[in-house]
Amino acid sequence: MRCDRRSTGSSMSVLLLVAVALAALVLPACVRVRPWERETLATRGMQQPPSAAVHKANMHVLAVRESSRGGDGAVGGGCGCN
Amino acid sequence: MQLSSERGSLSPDGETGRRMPGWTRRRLRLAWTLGATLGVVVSAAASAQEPDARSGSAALAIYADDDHVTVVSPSATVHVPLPGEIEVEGGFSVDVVSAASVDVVSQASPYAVEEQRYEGTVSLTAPLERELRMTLRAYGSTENDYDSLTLSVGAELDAFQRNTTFQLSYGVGIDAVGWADDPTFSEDRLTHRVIAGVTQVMDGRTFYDVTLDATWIEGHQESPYRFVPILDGEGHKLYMLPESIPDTRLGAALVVRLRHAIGRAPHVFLHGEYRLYADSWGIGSHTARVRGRVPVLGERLWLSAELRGYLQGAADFYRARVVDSGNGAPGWRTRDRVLGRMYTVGGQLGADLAVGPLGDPVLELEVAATILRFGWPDFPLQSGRTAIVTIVGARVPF
Repeated sequence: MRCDRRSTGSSMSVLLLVAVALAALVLPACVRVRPWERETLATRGMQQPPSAAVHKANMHVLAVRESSRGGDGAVGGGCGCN
Repeated sequence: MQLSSERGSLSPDGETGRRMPGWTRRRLRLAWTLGATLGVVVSAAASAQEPDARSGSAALAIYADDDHVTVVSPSATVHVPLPGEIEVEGGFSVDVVSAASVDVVSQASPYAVEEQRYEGTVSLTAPLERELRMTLRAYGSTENDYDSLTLSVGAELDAFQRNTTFQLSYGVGIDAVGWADDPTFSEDRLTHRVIAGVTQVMDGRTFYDVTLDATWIEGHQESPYRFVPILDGEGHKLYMLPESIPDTRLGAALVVRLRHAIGRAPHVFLHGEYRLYADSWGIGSHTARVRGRVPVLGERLWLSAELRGYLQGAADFYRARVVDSGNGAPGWRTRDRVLGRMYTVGGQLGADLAVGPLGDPVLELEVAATILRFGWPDFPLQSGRTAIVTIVGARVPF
């Protein structure tokens, strides 16, 4: 029974992955924002904190203490694998 | 080195941090290679540019938890544009670890472990066409018993009047796993990583990105320092065996991020993020993050607050207690808490300040403090740990 639940959960995860990926590919063609309308998008508030080193340090702390990996900008190995 | 401290020297006399000649040579070779490459690239780039086009950033991160683990990590990054819209970036950081956590003391050395880990990165981004950019990146790290080198190539394509950006990258990493107490111990691990993503502008105040990040790891994934107690049916320890886990791991993460400006200028900014992760070991997880950024003093000072939650299921082969009921121990066995059920909850407060003209600051400063609670409901030695991470950073054009 436990295996069945896991199998169903994995299938749902895969379906969700595919659905979101497809949506991300299809949606772009529907949107047109002119360059002069994007001023707000370029402000500091939209960006990550200014220091890339700070962001990397935060990600590094979590990358070596949780088993999931990817999608967070942390790179390379040697970070707690041994 | 394991920053989460599930390791330590197994030397019978309790001596820690021993360095083997072979590992030292490899470490120095890698460090010198990375350092020399970084130096040449940055020097060449710096000499070719106007002074105000370059920038450097530095940060100091301090991790401390209630299990006697402290990590001090200074780091520095240099960013230099070159003629032809080429950009070069190099970075270097050090982790200085001091650990006397419950699992190190109970399973390995009775003394604290102290050691250092060095890492360096070099990246080059160049335009191939008007809307297409390519990035090459090298990343290496070295420590007393572990070396890692990763090379990656990626491309970004702007489309639909630059409302959409597609990203695709591939990286390969080669890791060499050693054992401080056995110079003959040497195992390899190969990692392939493919990242595909889309960033999409929705309107003048909103954009999102979707990233699919797949990783395939093949090779030695055990820690040579981790031993598993094998119990009988009544919970008494029979004997100890080295950790043994599968050599192949295929995992994928899907991340959706949304950033939105609320209200009239100066806006309040809201960032949201969700990550779904699943892998071939049966581990699945959900991660959610919400971040708010508020401008103060005419957008010169920004205050930010963040909440993050992480919920993870156990690997199929993870057992809190590994039992030999007369037929021998299971083939897969581990005492790695990170492979069991776990959660993380955290909150962060931060501030960043621009000094000088707003559009062209002469100095940017940032400070952030994060509190994290890690929980392992099934781990017999420890149910949780609380950590505080303090980071101070600065970025300056030069």
